[in-house]
Amino acid sequence: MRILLVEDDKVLSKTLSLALQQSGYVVDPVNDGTSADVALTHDVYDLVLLDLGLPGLDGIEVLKRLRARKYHVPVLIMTARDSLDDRVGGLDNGADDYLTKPFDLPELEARIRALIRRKHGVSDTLIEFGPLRYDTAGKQAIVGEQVLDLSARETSLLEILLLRAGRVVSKEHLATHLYGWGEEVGDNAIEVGVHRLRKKLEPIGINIRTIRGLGYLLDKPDAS
Amino acid sequence: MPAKPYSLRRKLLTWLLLPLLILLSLRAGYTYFYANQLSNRVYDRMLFTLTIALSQQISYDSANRRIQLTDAAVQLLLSDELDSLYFSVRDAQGRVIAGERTMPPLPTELNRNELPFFDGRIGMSDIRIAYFPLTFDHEAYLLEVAETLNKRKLLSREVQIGSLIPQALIIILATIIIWFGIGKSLSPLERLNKAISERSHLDLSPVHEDEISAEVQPLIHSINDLMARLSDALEVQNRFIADAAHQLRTPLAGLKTQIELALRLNDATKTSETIHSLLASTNRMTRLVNQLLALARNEPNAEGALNKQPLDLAHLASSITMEWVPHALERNIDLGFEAPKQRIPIQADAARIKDLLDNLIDNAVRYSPQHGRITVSVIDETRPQLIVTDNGPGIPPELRERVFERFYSLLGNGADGSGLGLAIVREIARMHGANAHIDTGHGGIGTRVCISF
Repeated sequence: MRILLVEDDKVLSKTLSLALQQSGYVVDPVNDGTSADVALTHDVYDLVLLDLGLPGLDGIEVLKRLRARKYHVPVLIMTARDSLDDRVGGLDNGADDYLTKPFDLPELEARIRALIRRKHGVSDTLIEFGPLRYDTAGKQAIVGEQVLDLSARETSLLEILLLRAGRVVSKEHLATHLYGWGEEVGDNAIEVGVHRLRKKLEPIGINIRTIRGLGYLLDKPDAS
Repeated sequence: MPAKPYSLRRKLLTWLLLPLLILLSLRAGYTYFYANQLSNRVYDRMLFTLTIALSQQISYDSANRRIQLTDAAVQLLLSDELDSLYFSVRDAQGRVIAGERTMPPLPTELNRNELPFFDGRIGMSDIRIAYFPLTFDHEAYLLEVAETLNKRKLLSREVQIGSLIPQALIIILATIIIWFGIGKSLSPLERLNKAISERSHLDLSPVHEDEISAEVQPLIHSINDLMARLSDALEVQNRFIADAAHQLRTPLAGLKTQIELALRLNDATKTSETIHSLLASTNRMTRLVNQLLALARNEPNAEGALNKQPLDLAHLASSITMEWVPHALERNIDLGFEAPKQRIPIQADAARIKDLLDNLIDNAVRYSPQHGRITVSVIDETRPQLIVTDNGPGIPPELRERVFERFYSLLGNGADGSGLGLAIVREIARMHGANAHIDTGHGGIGTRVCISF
């Protein structure tokens, strides 16, 4: 995976290059907009990390030129400006994601992985979560060699929670995704569903937390 | 660039002089007409008197049927210095039987009610003619006496000029008086302009109001009011910058020391420990800078207007709270939410309300002990209220106002808090016409911050 890193701050550029190289990416660092524009006309990249405030050609201008050439490489903007206008401006001009400086390295790496995955059109069909492996294509939850015995609705519930693991999933979200139009859904029905799924996940050490007044959260497997 | 400004002086002058000129020219026109009338009336009367006098000086020779003027009459006709006088006598058929042959004929329709005068010409001269009926030998004759118009013209010219000269003088004098009057009246404006343009951009003291007219006073008041507000804003800004610089200096000092220590250490474990605390310091600084920015964004005079839109406070608060749950769980804090089922509509700027609630929850999480309990609730009793309750250490009553001040931190400098969170909360609340109030949580334990809209 080849990444073009456009960042004029030498320290940040060097540190990011090192970190990304350690994660197995090939990184080409450039320090100004013009070099970035040249690199993007001649080379093929899997991702561009783009700072907005650049000497020479402005970051947004680099982005505009890139998109004008119909080059659909994913672009992640990194900038110190966090006003809504800047954010919307970047996304409107064809950026795929946006990070405000200073950011956490793990966060940056997660965004990079997501963008590259999206570009290649494959979202993982297999979600691994602690001892659990969930196959989104086959709609099966597997522990070790064993397929978990779940009803169709419990499977959907698990999938929704897995896709948002570590974040709160509201009851409304569950209701709209688990039940079709016209189906009568009480809060009770969801509570009962969650209760049943929770019982089945408990033995393998996976915990569905109830968050007061908000919904449910699938605890990170190592946290519990 | 504004449009070319109009001159007040020119405008006043135009509005005063133009009507004056129109009035005076109307009056000049009337004078011209009136002078002509006057001189006609005066000299008509004299001409008529002369005609009657002449009629008595005419002798009739009945044998030859001839009409003759006496010598005295001829003298009378020649005595005028300015005008030529003519006479003629016509018989009943209108033929001139004596005197001037070229006398213009009578108008065909003589109006008996009008005065016995008419206008005509002899040779190249305009004349005024008076007539008078005579009877000799039971026959009717008509005596006509004509005179040129020199006297009349002279008189009316005199009257006209006599009244025009003072009028012209009036206009000239009025222009001069008005010109200086306007200049005098506008001089306070000039002085004001001078006073303001000459002052330094740092001098925001009020403009002096002595010798100022009632019309200019509101302007001065507005300017002074603006000066006062600018001066306040500038002062707040200066204090803020000083505070901010000081606040940034402390964590920077920590960072620097930690880095220097890390460079000196040979022990890998200890280096790693130091680097971890480096990361923690950096995170604190990051948060401080973010909060400074949030505060600058929510300043009373911040750029970007308040974008108020109708929204459901309950829904907004619950989605913001949700984002904080993972962070709270990391600290083993139970973060929950309470709201009635129905919507709670308010007019607010969603991004700013998020800033507000983020700060309240952040504070609660920061100051709550392990296994603490935080509840975000939204109620709608007379006013919509957003409440964050925790069971942490609480805030002593005497400090509940002070914690809203900028850079006031209960934990003192160097601790986790930036001392800006509640200042941001108050600014945002104020922008929404809401008030922020602190008391204790359930059973007198912990803190309860309530934002009432």
